[in-house]
Amino acid sequence: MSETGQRGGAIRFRGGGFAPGQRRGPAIVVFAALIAVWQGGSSLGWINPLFLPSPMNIGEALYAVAASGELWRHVTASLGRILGGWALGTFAGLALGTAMGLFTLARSIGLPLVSAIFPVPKIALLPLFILWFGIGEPSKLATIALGVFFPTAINCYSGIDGVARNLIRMAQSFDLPPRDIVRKVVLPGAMPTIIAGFRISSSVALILVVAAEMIGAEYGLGAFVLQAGHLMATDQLLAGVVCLSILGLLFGAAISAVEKSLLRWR
Amino acid sequence: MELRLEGISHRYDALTVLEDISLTVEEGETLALIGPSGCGKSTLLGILGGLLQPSAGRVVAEGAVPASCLNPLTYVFQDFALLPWRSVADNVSLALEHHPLSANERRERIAKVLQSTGLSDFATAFPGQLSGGMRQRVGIARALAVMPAVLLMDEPLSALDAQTRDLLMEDFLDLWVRERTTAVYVTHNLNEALRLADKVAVLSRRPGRLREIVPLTIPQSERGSSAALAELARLHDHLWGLIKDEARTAEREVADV
Repeated sequence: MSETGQRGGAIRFRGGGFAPGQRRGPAIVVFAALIAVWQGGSSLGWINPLFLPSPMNIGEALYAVAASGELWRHVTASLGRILGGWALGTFAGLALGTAMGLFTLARSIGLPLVSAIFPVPKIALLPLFILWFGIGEPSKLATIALGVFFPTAINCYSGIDGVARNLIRMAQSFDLPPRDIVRKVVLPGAMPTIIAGFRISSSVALILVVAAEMIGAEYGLGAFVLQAGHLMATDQLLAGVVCLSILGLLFGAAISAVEKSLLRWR
Repeated sequence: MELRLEGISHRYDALTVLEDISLTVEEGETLALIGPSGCGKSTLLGILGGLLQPSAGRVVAEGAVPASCLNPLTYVFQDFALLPWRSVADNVSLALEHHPLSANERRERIAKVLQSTGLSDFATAFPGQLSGGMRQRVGIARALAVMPAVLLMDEPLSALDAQTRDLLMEDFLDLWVRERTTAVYVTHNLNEALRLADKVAVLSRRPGRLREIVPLTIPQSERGSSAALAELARLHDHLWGLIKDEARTAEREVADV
């Protein structure tokens, strides 16, 4: 054996790494540090409060609009539109997605149609919806519903398409009626993908509600943020943004809860 | 129930998988279907239970079915085909829910088959929590719950390790071979065929034709005895001789399906 060759001894461990985990601590520390630096910079006068108010100012502004009851009005207006539009879009999306997942005709027509319309930014259709339905709620609901409709339909379709063929054959071999196969095998099998679609569609709904309210609304977080911007009230503007971020987090948490209860088996 | 296959042929597009198979599975008998891989055994089983439409020929079922039988032709699948979101008991229940049984009758049937397959303690477990052997027990419990007239088993032990396979095979003997439930058992494992079957049907390589039907006269209960060993070894060699060359060709074949 040559001089450079290995000559016995304990074997070097070489299987380490490439197994990232996740800990809570570092995230909290970095979050706190960021906010502290931001607050420090503002307090020391390094950051112009007109362009970027300090976290404390934002908190005060948030408290003020909350205490006056104004915030509540905006939040409920936005929330109503989100829930209404989301429910409409989800219902229609699940219906089309299920049909596309189950029937040749629906799939042959639906898939090209969905592929063609899906990439259109739905907010571009709001002016058209305003012409159709007026400036009030229906045009906003329609925009949100349309935005929610497509990702829901696509996820529902691909979820159903992905249900293991052998489970359906099994159900057929026990002579389950087609309705039962859909209800007990196909839909539960597609549920993980459908719920994953809810994550996408809820964030789409949040984006669209803000955009729609910025185009034409008296109340709503989008209108609130826009007005604050016009008045250069950046502390209120960011207070509105904080509310939006909290809303987004709440939706995510709600979907996780649904996921946890429906997909306990995983 | 007796099953009669009359001139079954099957083609996938240009590819002939089965050619002119005629064969009878008699009441109370376990027929093992063996053959090299790709000979269409599973296709034939699919045709037997009405899950596949043959290109030609037909399957005829004859004989009365007792009233307690809810699903005369019942499958046990190689990959178990359990619903992962249903518990063990609910997976069994799936086969019963669409039949007009009272809730009590249903519960009783479930409890009975879970008991006989040794699953009583696992009724609330989910398939994902069980080993492969236990999962196949659920598949068998589900099949037994409908009190089938004919059991159609598609390589039910192939996905399991050798030890689990031996254990389950003994249970199979208790569960249906001694009960004389009519069964068709597809396998590529000669030992399983020789342990369980009353009759072994050997299929040739694609296109699958019936090569030979080998009757096994030694009762299943005596096949473990030393007296039977020599005869079983002879049968094993005979069956292996029938499929060996074709299995070798099949193994070297480039997939063109």
